This record gives sequence, C-alpha cells and structure tokens, in this order.
Amino acid sequence: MELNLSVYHIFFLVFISYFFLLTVYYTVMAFIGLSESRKRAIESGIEDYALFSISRFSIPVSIIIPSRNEEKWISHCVNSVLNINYPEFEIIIVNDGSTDRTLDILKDLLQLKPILNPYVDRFDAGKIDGVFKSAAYPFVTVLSKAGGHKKAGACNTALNIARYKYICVLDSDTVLENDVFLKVMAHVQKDPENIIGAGCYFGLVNGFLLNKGKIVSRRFVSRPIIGYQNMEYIRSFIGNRLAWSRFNSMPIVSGGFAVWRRDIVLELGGFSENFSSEDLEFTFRAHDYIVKKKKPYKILMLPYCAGWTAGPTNIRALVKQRNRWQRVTNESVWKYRHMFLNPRFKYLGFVTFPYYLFYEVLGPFVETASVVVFIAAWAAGIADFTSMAVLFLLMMLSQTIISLLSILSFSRDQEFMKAGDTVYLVLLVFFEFFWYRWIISAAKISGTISFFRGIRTMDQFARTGGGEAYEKK
Amino acid sequence: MNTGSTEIFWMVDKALLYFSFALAGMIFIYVVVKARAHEQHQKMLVDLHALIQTLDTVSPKTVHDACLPFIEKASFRRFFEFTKSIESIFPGNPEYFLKDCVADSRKIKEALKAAARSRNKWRRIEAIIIVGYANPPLALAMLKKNLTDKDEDIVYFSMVSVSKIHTREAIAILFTCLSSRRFSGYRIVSLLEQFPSDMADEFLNVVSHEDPIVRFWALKLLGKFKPAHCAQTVEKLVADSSPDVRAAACECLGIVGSESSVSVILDALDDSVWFVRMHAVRALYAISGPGCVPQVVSLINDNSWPVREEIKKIMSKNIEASLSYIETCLTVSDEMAKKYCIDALVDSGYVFTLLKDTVCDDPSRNIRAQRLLGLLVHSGIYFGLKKSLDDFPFAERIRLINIIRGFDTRLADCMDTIYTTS
Repeated sequence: MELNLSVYHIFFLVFISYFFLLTVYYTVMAFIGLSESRKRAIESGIEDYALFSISRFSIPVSIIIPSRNEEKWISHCVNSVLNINYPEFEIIIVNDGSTDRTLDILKDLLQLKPILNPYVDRFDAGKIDGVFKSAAYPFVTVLSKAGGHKKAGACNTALNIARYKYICVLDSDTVLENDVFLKVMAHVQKDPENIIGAGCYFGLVNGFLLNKGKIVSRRFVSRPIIGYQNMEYIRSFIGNRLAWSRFNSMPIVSGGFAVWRRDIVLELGGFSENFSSEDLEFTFRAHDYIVKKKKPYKILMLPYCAGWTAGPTNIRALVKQRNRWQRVTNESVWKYRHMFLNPRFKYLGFVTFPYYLFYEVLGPFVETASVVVFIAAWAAGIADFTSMAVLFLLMMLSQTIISLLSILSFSRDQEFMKAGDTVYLVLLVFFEFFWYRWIISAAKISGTISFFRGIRTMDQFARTGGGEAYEKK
Repeated sequence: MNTGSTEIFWMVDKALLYFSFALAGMIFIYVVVKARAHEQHQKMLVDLHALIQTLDTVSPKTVHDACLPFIEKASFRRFFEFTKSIESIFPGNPEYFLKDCVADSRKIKEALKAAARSRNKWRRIEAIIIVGYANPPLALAMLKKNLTDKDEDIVYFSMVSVSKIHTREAIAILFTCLSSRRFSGYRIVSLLEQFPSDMADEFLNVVSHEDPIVRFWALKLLGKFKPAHCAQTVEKLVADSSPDVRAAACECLGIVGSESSVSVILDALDDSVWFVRMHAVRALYAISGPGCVPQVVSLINDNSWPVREEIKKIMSKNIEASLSYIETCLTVSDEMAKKYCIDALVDSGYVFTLLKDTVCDDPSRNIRAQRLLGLLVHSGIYFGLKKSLDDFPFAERIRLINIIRGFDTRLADCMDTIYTTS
C-alpha cells in the first residue's frame, strides 16, 4: 500500500514510535540496572555480616506484619521472621479482622498472653479487640483489630506501638531470607539521615520446599505461569527499579518488603486507606512531601533478595491481583499528576512518572489497540500478512532483549539461581509475547475499568493450599 | 506499510533476532562458566586447605612456599575472591601467613597499580579491596590518597578497605572520614568496632577532639571496648558543650560501671537537655542498681516525658525499694507525678500483692498496705483494681471491697455491682 496520511498510517507511526521509545527506555534502564546491580553485589560481597550481626551500632527495626485470613501462610511467615539474623528488632503482627484460624495459629505458635497495654491511637484504624505478648518471644506483640481498614489500616495500628527508628512492612505470605536485614540495614546505616525508604527484590515462593519458615530448596522450574511472574519480578526489580533508584526516583517500595523511616511515616500521617493498596501511593506521597520541604532524601532499591511471596497460581487469580495493581497505579498517577514533567521532582518528574503514565497507565490500551488495528488493516487489505508479522516480531523481540538483559544481570549478581533455572527462564522469555503478555494487558484494562467505576477494594486473590510450597515432613 | 518499509523492519527484526539469540547463548555460556569458575574456586580453596594441613610445621615460610604458586596462578577475579575469603576460611595463624604470601605475590603489585589508577572503575574497586585485605607496604598511603577521589564509590570502598588494615594510623584515617561527614557516623563506627580491643586507647585519645561528632562516636566506641581507666577521661565530657556528647558520656560511664563516676553523673541529672538527664538516669541505674532510686526519684515530675518514663521503669523494676517514694508522691498534689507512680505500681504487678497484704494477718504489712491502698483510691487514677480483684476468692474479695468502702463508698458500690451482676 502506498504511504499516505491515512488513519492507518497515523496509527502505524504512533505504535512504532511508542514501541521504539519504550525499547530505548527499557534498554537504557537495563544497562543502568546492570551497573547498579554490580556495584551493590561488590558492596555486599565485602561486608562483614558476621560482625554486623553482633554489632552495637546496628539500627534496630520494627517489623510490621499485617495479616488478614492468612491461615495457610502465617506460620511460615512468622517463623521466617523469627529466624532472621539481626541484632535488634521487634515484631508487631496485626490480625486484621481475620475470620479464619489466623489468630489461633498465632496464639499456638507464639504462646500469646493477653496484656493490658493502653496506647494513644493516632490513626483511628479500627477497634482493637486484644493486645497480646508472646511468652516465648518477648519481642513479639500481636494486635487483634476489627477489619475494614485495609492493609494500610493494619499497618497504621502497628505504627502506634512501633518503637524503632525504622519500620519494615511485610506481607503475611512472605517468607524472608534470614540475612535480609543485615544486607538492607548495613546499607541504610551508611546514611540514616537521608535514607527514608528501601526496598528489595523478592520472588515467588511457589514451588519451594519449606520447613518451619526456612527455605529447604528453591525450585524456579515450576509451571510457566509462575516462571513468567518470576521473570516479570526480575525485569521490574533488577531492571527499572535499580536504575530509578540510582537517580533517586523510585516510585514504589513494594509492600511485600518495605523499609521506611518511622518519623517520615508518622509525619505523613501513616498509610492511606483511600487507595486500592498502599505501597505505590505512599512512595509517591513521600517523594512529594520531602521535595516540597526541600530536604535531601533517598529512597533505595537494593538488588538483594528479601524473601519469597506467594503468587497467583492460576489465570483468574493473576488477573484479580493485576487488576488491583492497575487500579492503584491509576489512582496514584492521577493523584500525583502534578509531578509529570515538573522540574522540582527532577528524575521522578521526567523519567519515572512519564513511564508510569505512558507505559503503566496507557500502555495496555496502546498495545491492544496496535494488535486490533494491525489485524483490522490486514482484514481490510490495507496491510499484508508479512508486514503485520514483521511488526509483531519487532514488538516481541524488543521485549525479549530487555528480559534477557535483566536475566543476565540477575544470574550474574545473585547466587541462588542454578544454571538450569536460568536456562528455563531464558527459554520462557521467547514465548512471553504469545500469551502471558496479553493476559497481563487484559488484567490492566480491566483494572482501569474498575478504577473508573470507583472500585477501591483491596481484594486478595485466593491462596491455594500454602501455595505450592509445603512443609517438610 | 509499503514493501520498502517492510524490508527495513524485517532487517531490524533479523538484527534483533540474531542479537537476542546471541544474548541467550551468552547467558547460557555465562551461567555454565560461572558455575564452573565457582567450582574451581572452591577446589582451589579445598586444595590450599589440604596443603596447609599436610605441612609439618605451619610457619610463614612453609605456607609461603607452598601457597605462592597457587596464588600466582589465579586470575585477577579469583585472586580477589581468594583474598576476601582468607579470614573466614583459614582462621588463626594460616590467615596471617597467607596474607603475607598475598602481599609478596606479583599479583599484589598489579592490584596496587589498578587500585591507584585503573580506568575500569569496578576493577579498581576490586583492587582497592584486595589491597585492604592484603595490606602490602604503602597500601595505607595509597588508600588515603584515594579518599580524596572525586568518585563517591572509590572513596567509600577505600574507606572500607582502610578498615581492614588494623593499625593505629588506619583508626586516625577513619576518624578523619568521620570528621569530614562524607559518610554516616553509624557506618564509620561499625568499621571501627572491628578493630582489636588492644587498640581501644586510640579511641580514648580522640575524645578530646575539637569536632563534637568525633567526640560523640569515640564515646560510643569506648562504651563497646571499655578500656581500663577510661572513666576519668570520660567524666570530663559530662560537662561538654555539646548535649549529644554529654549524653554519650553518661551512657558510656553507665556501661563502664565505675562507682567513682556517680557524683559526676548526679550533676547531669540537673542538665538543661532532657536526653542528657535521661541517659544520666540510665547510667546511675546501671552503676548503682536499686540503690539509685532515692537519687533519681525526684525526676518523676520532670518536664520531659522520656525522663519520667525512665524513672517509672526503674521504679517498677524495683518496686519494693520505691514504695516509700511512691507513698510520698501520692500525698502531694502533682497529678502527673501521681500518675507515673501508679503506672509503676501497675506495671510491676504490685497491685495484687498490695491487695493481698491488705487482707493478710501480719499487722505491719497490713497497715502499710491499707495506707497505700487508701492513697491509690483517693488519687482517682486507674490502677487496675477490678483486674486484680478478679484473682481473689469470693470471701477475700468481699473483705477487700469492704475495706475499700472505708476510703470510697462509690467505688466499693461500683465493684459490688459489677460482681453481683457477673
């Protein structure tokens, strides 16, 4: 077909420019991420963690575990936190109106005793039904409260009694690596006056063998749906986020493992219950607040493995999870739209926020529209099959290369992935475009529709029997 | 899209396809080579370990002769990994002999050169670390020079490397870093705390440094190492111009635990800054234990709540020693002081004992308990009466409610109603 200014031609130019810019963006980020990951790996390699684990000068942490109907995972999570190697920490578990056996499991596991512990509630995050102290572990407190205030409310309740300078919010389906706090806090310790937040990589626990919260064996070679999610996590954490972190424009410290300086969380009035989930919005809010106060600060992404979290094991659960993620993305981007190309926010305004707007918010529509338009053009005889195939191949390969760069960085600097696992992920990457990517796009579109319908719930996807991880007999 | 542009895109696709296959192939090769290199490195360590075990005598010379060929053979990367792991894999004498061996090798000259001026930043950093671990001659001077480098990472790793050289000069360099405020005090002292305890005198020397940050962290380190006779020097800092230093001095004296420091710490109880008073209270408790109660109890109505909390904690831990002060406090009109005293009683779990004494047969305990119970009731402040009464058998509970009736009829009626309805 002759080149002219037809509608198809305009669409074609838009789509090609979009994919070209996105590929360039991802490639640059991937290379910056590679360099950042190398630096952190060297830093971590020379750190004397054995000595740090008994140091008098480590910064203590309050670990907050909000938990709602997590009977299948709570004991793994709590046991893994009890096993961590760190000189000083406290654990605050919030039973957020669970209707299953979560509280009973906690009572048995921790030998809980009710205590009289009045405190000032700064957040109005739900009525407290009981405060318990562990007889077995004096540094563990369990708060039982009425539900209905989302994870944000549960975290805020715990904030009322958290004592230490830094807090760490965990998901109650996360199994921690036992050296994670040594690695993260050794880093925070370098600049506690400026580091207000830090996040880490975490992957999926599905397929792992666990024994009382300890990881006995790691099996990445699981079902493709798990493999692809692991791939996505690697691409996101090791690629983009490390690069954003280098320029202090990290837009999200994931709620699965998020270290925050407590004074900042309190100054910001805690986590907000008005969003579908709290992590992305809170990170944006922290940036917004401190930039406006004109104070120096850092929010870090570290390439160390924090732990492993239970991921959706079927497409329905995956779509439900990503629907929520998309909603909170849209909510946060809309609320903080003033950051877009705003010189006050530097890299956040010019590098990260545009990515969120054009890729995370609008991306699913552009991608889906590109497929629809190409197919329609082919059906109408405007474009032939060859040119359409050539364009799809371009889209597929650009994404494949980005994923491969992230895998290269990950397998270079992380010790826990075996050669076989890497090969498996590399093979998966070549087929991502043919199905997984479109499931995610569909989930994102449904999330955007839910956003416009005003849905702000924090729905959990249904946990299968302890994920695929199981207790060693 | 016309045929021409399809051709162009197809060429781009082909290029990307080849590149992605090449990248995938590179990853396959990389992971296999990495696994193999890791195995070889482990094998080298095992072989070296076995070699040292077979030596008749482990002396600098025998270790040197046996191990030098191994070290010279290693690649720069493996040399880096090996140097890092000497401490953990070969503890004791072999560690020192092996480090000497590394320092004598040709490889270390290469490392020194790279550490000073390699254009490859990461190779330079690896070399900087090797130099720190092996400590060849001139290492410290070179690392010190690197501390003025423009690149933040080079400066940071040079500082970490300096901390691996356990000499007095290295301590002085690290304190200079502290003074320059380029990195956090937490980080630098965590490097300094790795030094052997026989060097703790160096920390004592810097407590008179002109920079308060240095004085502060030196005191923190003294608290860890507790060198002999440091109390006298530290006592002078209780009157320092910086409140942070005064507080750290009190904390340090508390950890050192010298009885002779008590009079100096007592002066700090009148300090104008709350956290100095708080640390003074803690230090006194650490030194004198329950004996400090009469000295600190007057701060129960301090302006600052952390100080009051500290006193409350001490009282609740030593409730018997504190009872007479609590009694006095409950007779005065300061509501805040009353509340903290009663909280101390509640936190210590003494209310149950008090009620038990109230109905016991021993007249001396009985009279005192009744007097204190009366004061508690009259204060009008919550003291967990119902929770404690719950634990008494019916007859004793009735007796207690009758005694309470003598102090406050409404409260006794209220308790009566609760138990009647339940």
